[in-house]
Amino acid sequence: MAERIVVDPVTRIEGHLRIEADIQDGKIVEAYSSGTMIRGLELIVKDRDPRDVWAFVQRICGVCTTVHALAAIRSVEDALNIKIPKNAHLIREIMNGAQYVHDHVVHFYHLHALDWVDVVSALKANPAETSKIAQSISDWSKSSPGYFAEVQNKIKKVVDSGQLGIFANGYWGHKAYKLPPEVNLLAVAHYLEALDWQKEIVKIHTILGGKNPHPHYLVGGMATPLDINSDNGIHAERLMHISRLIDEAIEFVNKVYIPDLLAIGSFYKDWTHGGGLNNYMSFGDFSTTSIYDIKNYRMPRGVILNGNINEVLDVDPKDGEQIKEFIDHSWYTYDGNETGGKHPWEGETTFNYTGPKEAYDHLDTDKKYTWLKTPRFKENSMEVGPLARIMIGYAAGREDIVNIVDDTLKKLQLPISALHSALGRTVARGLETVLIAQWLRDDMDSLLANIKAGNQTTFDRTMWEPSSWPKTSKGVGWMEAPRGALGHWIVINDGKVENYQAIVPSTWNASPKDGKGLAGAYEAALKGTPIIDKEQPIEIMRIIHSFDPCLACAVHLTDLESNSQTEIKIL
Amino acid sequence: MMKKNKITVIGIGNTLYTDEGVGVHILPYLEKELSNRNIDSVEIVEGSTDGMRLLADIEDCEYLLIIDAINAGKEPGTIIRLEDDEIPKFFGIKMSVHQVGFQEVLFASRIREQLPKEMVMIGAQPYSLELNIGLSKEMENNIPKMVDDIINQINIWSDK
Repeated sequence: MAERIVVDPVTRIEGHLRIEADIQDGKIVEAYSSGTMIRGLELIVKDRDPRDVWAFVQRICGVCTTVHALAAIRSVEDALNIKIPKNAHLIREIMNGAQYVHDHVVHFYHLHALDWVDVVSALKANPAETSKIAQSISDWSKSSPGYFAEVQNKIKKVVDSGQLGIFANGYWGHKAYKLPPEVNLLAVAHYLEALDWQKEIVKIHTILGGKNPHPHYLVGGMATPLDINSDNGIHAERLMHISRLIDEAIEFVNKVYIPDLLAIGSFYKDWTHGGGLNNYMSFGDFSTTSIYDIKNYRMPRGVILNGNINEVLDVDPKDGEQIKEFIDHSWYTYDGNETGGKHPWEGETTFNYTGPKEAYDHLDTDKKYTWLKTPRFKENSMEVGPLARIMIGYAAGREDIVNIVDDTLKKLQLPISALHSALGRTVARGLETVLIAQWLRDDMDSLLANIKAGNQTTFDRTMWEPSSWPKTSKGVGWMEAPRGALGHWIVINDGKVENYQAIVPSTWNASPKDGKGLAGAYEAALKGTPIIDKEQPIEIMRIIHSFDPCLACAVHLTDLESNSQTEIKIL
Repeated sequence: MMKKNKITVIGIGNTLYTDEGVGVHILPYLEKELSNRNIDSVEIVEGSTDGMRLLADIEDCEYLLIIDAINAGKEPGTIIRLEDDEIPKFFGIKMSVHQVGFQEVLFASRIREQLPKEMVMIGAQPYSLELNIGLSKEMENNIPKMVDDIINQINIWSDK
């Protein structure tokens, strides 16, 4: 008889996620993924002006700032057949690219590394040895024994103070940690450096989007005031600042992130768990010309089923038969019914909570058990995200993707099949960061060339006025967000939003079982994984974190109720 | 090295959930009141739901004032004040998107030994957390009192 363990909330993610896992003979035999909060962003934009939707939907979360705005604005432009100027396209690409590079580096060091890196063990390291290792894998300048000794001292102060902050939730000393103390110290040093670096890279959003978080977008282009000769607009100096930030990002990714990733990965090659579905989907993105030129996507579109990289299937987010969201195990109804599937254009957000009303130990996973709907591609569960993109790019024979994958696998002495794993997902995220950082450079060069040639246009107002719109229209804003394929589906009627549905990457990955019993990506990835110590299920954290979950959507006010130790002062 | 701001006020919260967004909604009122009183030395940051990207704003000041909704199990509208070490403790237990957001930012700043000299958090117990854009009427009536409390704090710091 299996024993059920519960991890709730899964920490070091954005938002609320609960995992229940049945363990038998030291292995997960079945897993259930439950999103324990409501999103409801579909409801809040109903009847609003479509030109404002981007501003509302991106406020759902500060971490995925920008991506929901971009998907929303693409949905409106698709519905109204609005074409944007070349510069606006490039600026959006640069902002999305900057989001990726920031997000992936932060995910690696701040959300995921602690599943592989034992912070406390770093105290035992010999800084001189760490320095040797650092210098053998990279020519990054901060690598002296004194530097690592100083970092070690900082960790010691924090550990001694007993205020471990985010380090407090770690399973330090767990047998699943395999790194020598010296490599742990290296990783913690770069955790701190990554903090410094990420403070700078976000300025790309602040400059091009006017503010951060939640930069400004505009239906028909961008509100970015390009004017190389003005004092107040985006002038030459600001453009040079962006250029410099891009070069620094390329350097940090290639000299710190990737060497660390490979060094850490090389100690975990035999931890091959966490693959799962082997079904991958990407809407594709990073077009060199326009989002409508799918053939020009640097990150290609497609679907792989059952790990078959000899065939890339097509996916069309507009096809009502391909993508449907089911609700058999989700707390929703469709037209009053408990089951069924709908394409998002016909989609419906009607909450129907049937879970436990009081404190509970387990969810009844035979019934409905999550706030996430259950999206499927032709009734198949899909994984989306970095691993999906890299697999599809590889299968499609994209030269830059094939080369970087082959090079990396050669260094690690692993076959391509090794990528179907938690570690493979983490490696794929790193590899696409290298490519995207370079695309950022290319797009910035194109933007600078346009400006130099006298083209500073970022907005086309032809279709701005609702009087120029058809009475009814519908569109899809698709994109590849850092966490995976993202779609916003909109129906516009009489100048107002009539229906709005979003399927976010984590809905694909964290979805529950469907009516046919097919597991979602997290559930499939967990199944079969050995658990060394069920009180400290670090293996579950590793696998779930490798997807970079983002379920940030609900209320998150500061909660003092459960903390009795601190006195509350009333003003 | 950039020169540090003396005082930074950072408003956090999600504006899509009524009073959860009080930390953001209050900022224009605060800005206006500061300008009425000719106080122009304060940096105001709309932190919204962001996390690690706020590190620079937090570290680049001497005195930091954070505004957010706080659930203290008190009467709705109660204004709550926390200082220094009390602040990360609360973010440590709160189950939210800010779990890896603001709490980690404060921790990161501490391990880097870059925390501001003093931190104060001023918040209010919400009336409503329904999915809705804009504050509840009751919370709106509370805003002048909160603004006063914030300005008192700013005055204390300005004299230092």
